[in-house]
Amino acid sequence: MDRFLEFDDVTRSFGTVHAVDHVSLTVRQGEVFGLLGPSGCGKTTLLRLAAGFDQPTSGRILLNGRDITALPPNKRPVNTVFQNYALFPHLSVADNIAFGLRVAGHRKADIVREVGRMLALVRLEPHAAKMPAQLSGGQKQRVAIARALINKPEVLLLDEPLAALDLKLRQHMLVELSKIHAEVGTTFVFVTHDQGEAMSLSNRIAVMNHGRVEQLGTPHEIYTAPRTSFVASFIGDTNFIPGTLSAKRQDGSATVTTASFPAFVTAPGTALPRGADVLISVRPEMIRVTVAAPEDGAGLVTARGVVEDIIYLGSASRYSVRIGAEKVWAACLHDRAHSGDTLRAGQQAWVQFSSDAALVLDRADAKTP
Amino acid sequence: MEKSRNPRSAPAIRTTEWWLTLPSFGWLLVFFVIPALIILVISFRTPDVTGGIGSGWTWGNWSAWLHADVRVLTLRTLWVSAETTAVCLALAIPVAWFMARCSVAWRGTLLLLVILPFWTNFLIRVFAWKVLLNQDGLAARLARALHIIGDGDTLLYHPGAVLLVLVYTHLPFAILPLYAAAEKFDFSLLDAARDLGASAPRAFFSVFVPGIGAGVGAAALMVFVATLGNYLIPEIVGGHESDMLGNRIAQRALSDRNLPEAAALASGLALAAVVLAAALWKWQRRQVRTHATNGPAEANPARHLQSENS
Repeated sequence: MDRFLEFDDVTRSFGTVHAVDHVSLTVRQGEVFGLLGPSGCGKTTLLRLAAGFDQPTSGRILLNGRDITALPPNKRPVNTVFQNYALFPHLSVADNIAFGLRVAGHRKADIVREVGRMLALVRLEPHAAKMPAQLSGGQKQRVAIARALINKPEVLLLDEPLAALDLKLRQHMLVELSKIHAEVGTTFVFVTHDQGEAMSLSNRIAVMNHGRVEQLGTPHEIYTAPRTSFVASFIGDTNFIPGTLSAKRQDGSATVTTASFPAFVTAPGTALPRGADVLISVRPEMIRVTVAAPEDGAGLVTARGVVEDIIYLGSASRYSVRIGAEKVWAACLHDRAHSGDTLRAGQQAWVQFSSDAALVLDRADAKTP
Repeated sequence: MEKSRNPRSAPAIRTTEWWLTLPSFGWLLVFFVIPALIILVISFRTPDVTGGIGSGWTWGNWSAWLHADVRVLTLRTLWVSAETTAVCLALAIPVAWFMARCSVAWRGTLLLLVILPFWTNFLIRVFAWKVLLNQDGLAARLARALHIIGDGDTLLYHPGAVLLVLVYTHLPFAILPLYAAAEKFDFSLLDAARDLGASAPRAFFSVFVPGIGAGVGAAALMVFVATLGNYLIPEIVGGHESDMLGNRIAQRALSDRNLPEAAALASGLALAAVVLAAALWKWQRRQVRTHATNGPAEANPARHLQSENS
């Protein structure tokens, strides 16, 4: 089923602030859907609206075609894994997990069986008798997941599921979450401010900013074809080069003129008109830096500059190169092809990228380049 | 597992703490423990004819506890204290919940309102109820207008009046510890309970109330123990059938001038309160232990589920 959890023109205002501003999006059944954005972008509000803790000012929320907007949280076939886990401190691990079934009034034998299954799913059998205060962060989170999944929700909502864990545990839980999803097949909707988390966990991502969805797509689409400068800068690093569309062609490709680079022709697909002020976004890893002049050719943009800063990262290095008024960052992996390159600060160097790697974005909607 | 480690060594802290608590311990010793022990000693002395304390020693004063009327008074005292405690908790738990959910500015105001009655003398507050409840009092006239009571009836001198004023007097003692516990309560747990399918009342009773368990215990003890020894309220607003143990102690001490018997009754009551407090303390210690120590590792989940009463 393609339409599963639907937000239909949902707005949630607090006074004059629109925390969620006319959001329409559809989560598909069985997918892992990431809501990604900086803090205050409305992603958590959207999740709370889905859980039923908050009511939209306008718009509808549908699950499987049924309008659930007015349902209280306990009547929604949706469960939440809270950011701080919200485990009941007076109940053991097993009792925390059993809570939902107890409330629903299941038979004791069924509860015992289901709790056992859940403990096995999250590999916490040896800790069943422990109290939440005795668990590590990762264990608490697994209890929270088991407690939410035991109710067999149609959608599992996860609020910043990895934010409270340290880096190493986060990597581990990332794998763990994927495994659990593969095993239960429930639709996961999760909120995160961490692009790495969103990219590695999600089938699709909605990037949010100022209460709106800026772009919805697969991680690959969002990384390689960001539609706005916000998305381009929020997901990964990028260079923004201001320019102008000096000419447009029949096929939708355009000629871009910038202050420091030679004019070049972009890939087709730009909707912006001739004369528009644009930002050219080029990912650092798409830029090559060489000491010797590289071969120039069709579809390549080449310029000469001076290396300013070098950041050594072990497996890679980042170079900032000043070209006229512009400063671009290039990332270079230290693989076999590049191990010979020895660039020093202050050195003259050549910068080259393919015009296909240059994305044309509207400068008018750029807020934080 | 997270463990907070203090860079200072534990014994050093303990020594400092001892010095800091010394003044309050001293105060308690001089003004509470020693007088209580003096009363305990008096309870074993013989009474003297002039109403003083004789020079002999006897167990006889404690036999006052065996009198049939004292047994009636004891049962009534326990019953009235239990009623007062139950009503106070029923009123104070929602109040504590409400206060903890208020904005910080409002909390201060509400807390002040709870404490405000203490600025008026206890006796005056009880007499104020007498004014409200008597034949021509506001409450009595209202009750008459609503045909709850007949002409010339009063709301005073009735066990209900005693309960009402006892609840009124002790409510702050219930609200304060409950509020202290509720303030620390993580209200997102209620969201979690609702999310897992619990109705609002279910979430309240199976997550909020156990969550403030320590506060409930403290509030119950405060109210129960304070009510056990009360004698002014039954004396002022109660009738003959409202007398409690405290009234008998006051009568023995003030009108009959049998100080040793009064001391025996008072000591018995105090010991009962100590036993109750100790039991609560032990119960809370056990709670803390089960929350904080490692349980045995077992694979059978059935063993770790509560029995079906939750």
